[in-house]
Amino acid sequence: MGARGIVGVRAFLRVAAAGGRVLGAREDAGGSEGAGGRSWAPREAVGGSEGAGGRSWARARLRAFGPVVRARTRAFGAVASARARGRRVAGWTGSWRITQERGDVDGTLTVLLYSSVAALTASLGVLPLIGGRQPSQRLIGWANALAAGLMLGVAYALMVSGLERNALAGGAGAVVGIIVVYLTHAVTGVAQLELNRLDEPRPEYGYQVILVNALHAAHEGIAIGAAMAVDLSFGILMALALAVHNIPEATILSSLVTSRGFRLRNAALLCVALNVNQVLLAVVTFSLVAAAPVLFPWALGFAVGALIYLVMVELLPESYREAGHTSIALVTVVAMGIVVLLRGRAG
Amino acid sequence: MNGVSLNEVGLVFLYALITALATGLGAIPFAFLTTMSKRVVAYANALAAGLMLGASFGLVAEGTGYGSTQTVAGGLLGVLFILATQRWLSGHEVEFGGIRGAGARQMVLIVVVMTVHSFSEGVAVGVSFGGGAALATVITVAIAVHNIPEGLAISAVLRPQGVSVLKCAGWSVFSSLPQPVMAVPAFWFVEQVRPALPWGLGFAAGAMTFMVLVELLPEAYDQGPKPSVAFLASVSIIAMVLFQHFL
Repeated sequence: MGARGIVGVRAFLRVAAAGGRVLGAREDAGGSEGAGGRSWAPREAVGGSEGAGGRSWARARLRAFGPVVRARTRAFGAVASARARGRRVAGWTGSWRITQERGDVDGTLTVLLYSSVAALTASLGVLPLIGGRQPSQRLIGWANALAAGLMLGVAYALMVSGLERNALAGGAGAVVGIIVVYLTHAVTGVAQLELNRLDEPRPEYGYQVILVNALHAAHEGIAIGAAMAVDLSFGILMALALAVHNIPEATILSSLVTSRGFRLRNAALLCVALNVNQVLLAVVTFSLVAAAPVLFPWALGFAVGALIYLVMVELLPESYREAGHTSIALVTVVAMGIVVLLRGRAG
Repeated sequence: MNGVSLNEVGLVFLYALITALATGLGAIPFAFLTTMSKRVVAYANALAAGLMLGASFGLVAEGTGYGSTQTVAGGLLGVLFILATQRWLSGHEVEFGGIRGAGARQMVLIVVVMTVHSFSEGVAVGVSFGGGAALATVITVAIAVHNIPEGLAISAVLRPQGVSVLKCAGWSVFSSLPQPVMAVPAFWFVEQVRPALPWGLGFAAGAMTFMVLVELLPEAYDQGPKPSVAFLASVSIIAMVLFQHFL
């Protein structure tokens, strides 16, 4: 434990130092003005993750994810000591930049870690149900609207990355993404399903809801993998957005299964288990894109299409039923604004 | 800015006017629409929602190129503007194209939103012209074409309420008139106007996005089957984004 702990601390200090440098560098990176014209891509951001937005985001990340970063460093310490001795743990600070070119093990582990965190977050969804209470419909509506806004925001950011790389493949991928999610709903017979009908007596309804949740998690996993391949900070943002989305989703599912006699603890486990798809597809997408870069714009597009369609078919209509139109629209648009602010102009 | 001759200004105005007229073309597809069932209303709303969201994505992408904080702040102002307009409209008896009540309020709102959004687009046009007059024709054609789906969005909301195709085209052109009006001063004072651009682009994007979320989508879900509405809206977002990217 001792040696591993020291390695972890050293790595963390290195991150902090890198963060400090980022902070210092930010002043000259800011204030860049007037990339004119009507084209999509912010000029300076083209072809690299080292743009000004990336830096400002790095600063926000260090503040917001302090504990996460520390936990991650510890995890990497453990992994590294289990692996060959010669490998320096601290190397991971630079490793995620390399992952854009080739999927090394560190990058894959990072994806695994963050998508697992997003999946585990689903277990928080049972918290409002403790003590047999039912969460207010309105609260769930707002939580869904928050998730919808975050997901639309990250879809927008993914879209910008996709357009910079290969707009045609990205667009085609997006259409494929929409069609695939549409078809999975249609083929499995859950297209018109409402996910929060506690009064629905049919036994198969429970299975259908579980199926829908599992399918959604799979599509969202692709989005995490694709975002991670753009750059680490964006991947974390994506995982965070989907973690936020997983919570109300789990609350709705848990209140359904507990009303049918499930124990709360098992409901929490079920919600996490359904999101294992997310972890799996995040890792697979990330590795696939690293191995075959041709697929990258397709994956980005697919993620954009899938995210937008999920928001349109599931999150928004549900939230409109649960709370007033104005409050839902407000929460959604503010969440979108937050993502744009965090993502800045990084590609 | 003294080097700018009156001739050039006239040219900018003319070009921008052409782009405004192009908006009217967006009404044409609705000439072929004869039945106005609930489903048609839902799909038209979903189409308008997708086109406007896609357009907002484009505005945000452009605005963040000038400054993301200003863009988002502008977006917040746009949201507040729609809230205020909604409140004002709900306190008044509105009539639009011979129709009263909720439908009329929604029609007024979309015309107002699209007109306001043209202000910032006009500024963007003027600033682009300021960047180099050689590109003028290319930019004009691009913007004229890019305005057509915006006319489509307006007509998609007006037409199902029973407004005639000609009037849809008229209101579409009207909504784009601020473009030539704003393009000229923006062209003239490029340097002074540039800092305001992210605010304006953000404002337009915020107003359009909020309008979509608070009016168009809820009504679309209300009137039509959820999967088809979502499918149409999502595809229109992608189509609009690609359309604007390539033109």
